[in-house]
Amino acid sequence: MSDIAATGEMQGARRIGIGVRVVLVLGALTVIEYAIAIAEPPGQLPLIFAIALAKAVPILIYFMHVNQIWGGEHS
Amino acid sequence: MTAVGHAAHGVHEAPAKRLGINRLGLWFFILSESILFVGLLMVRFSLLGTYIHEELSQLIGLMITVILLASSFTAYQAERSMARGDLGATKRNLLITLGLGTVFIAGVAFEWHEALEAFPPSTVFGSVFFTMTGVHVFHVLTGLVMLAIVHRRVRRHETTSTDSWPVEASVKYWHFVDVAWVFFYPALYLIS
Repeated sequence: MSDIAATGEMQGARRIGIGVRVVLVLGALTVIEYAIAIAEPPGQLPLIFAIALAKAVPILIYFMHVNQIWGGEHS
Repeated sequence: MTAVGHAAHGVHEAPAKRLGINRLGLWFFILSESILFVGLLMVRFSLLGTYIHEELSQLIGLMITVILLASSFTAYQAERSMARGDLGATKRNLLITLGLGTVFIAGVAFEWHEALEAFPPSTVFGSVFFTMTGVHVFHVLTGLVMLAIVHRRVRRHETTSTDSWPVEASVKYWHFVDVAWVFFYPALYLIS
C-alpha cells in the first residue's frame, strides 16, 4: 500500500472515530435532556434549549462541515 | 504560464469552484429553510407558552429522536465512505439511513394516530402539533426521496468519488432535517 493510500485510510478511520464520538455525545445529551424534562426543575426552558443548542453545534461542525462556508475545511 | 498551462490550470480549478458555488447555494437554501422552522417555534411558544398536552407519548418522542440521530450518523458514514471511494459501504449506509428515516416517519404516523383522538387539529395544541410535525415530516420525506435518488445513482455508478456532490448535498440536507428536530423535540415533548 502506498503512503498516500495509507494516509487516506488513516484519515478515514479518524473521521469515523469523530462520527462515533459525536453520535455518543448526541445520545448522552438527549438522555440528559429527557431526564431534566422528567425532573421538571425550575427554569428548565433555558436549560433544555441550551442542551438542544449543544446538540446542534456538533452536527453543524462535524457532520455538516459548516466551516466549509469560509473555506476552513476541505472535506 | 503558457496557454496550455492556463488551460490545464482552468481544468483543475473549475470543478473546485463549481463545488464551492454548489455548497454556498445549499447553505443559503438551508438558511432560508431555517427561517421557516424558527418561525414555527416562535408560533408554538406564542400560542401555547410552555404548555404541552399530557397525553403526548414521551416514549415515542424519545424513540423517534434517537432514531433520527442514529440516521445522521449513518448518513455521515455514507458521505465518508464516498470520499474514500468505497461504493459498497456508501450504498449500505445510504440504505440504513433510508430505513431509519422510514421508521421515524412510521413513529410520527403512529403518534398522529394517537394524537388525533387526544388533541385533534381543531384544538390549539393539536393545530400547533400537527403543523410542526407535518412540516418536519414533509422535510424528512423529501430527504428520503433525495437519498433514494442518490442511492440509485451510486448503484448505477452515475455518482462516483470524483463527483460526490449529490451524496454530500443530500446528506447535508438530511443533517439539517436532524438539526431542525433537535429543536422541535424539546419544544413539542419536553417543555412543561
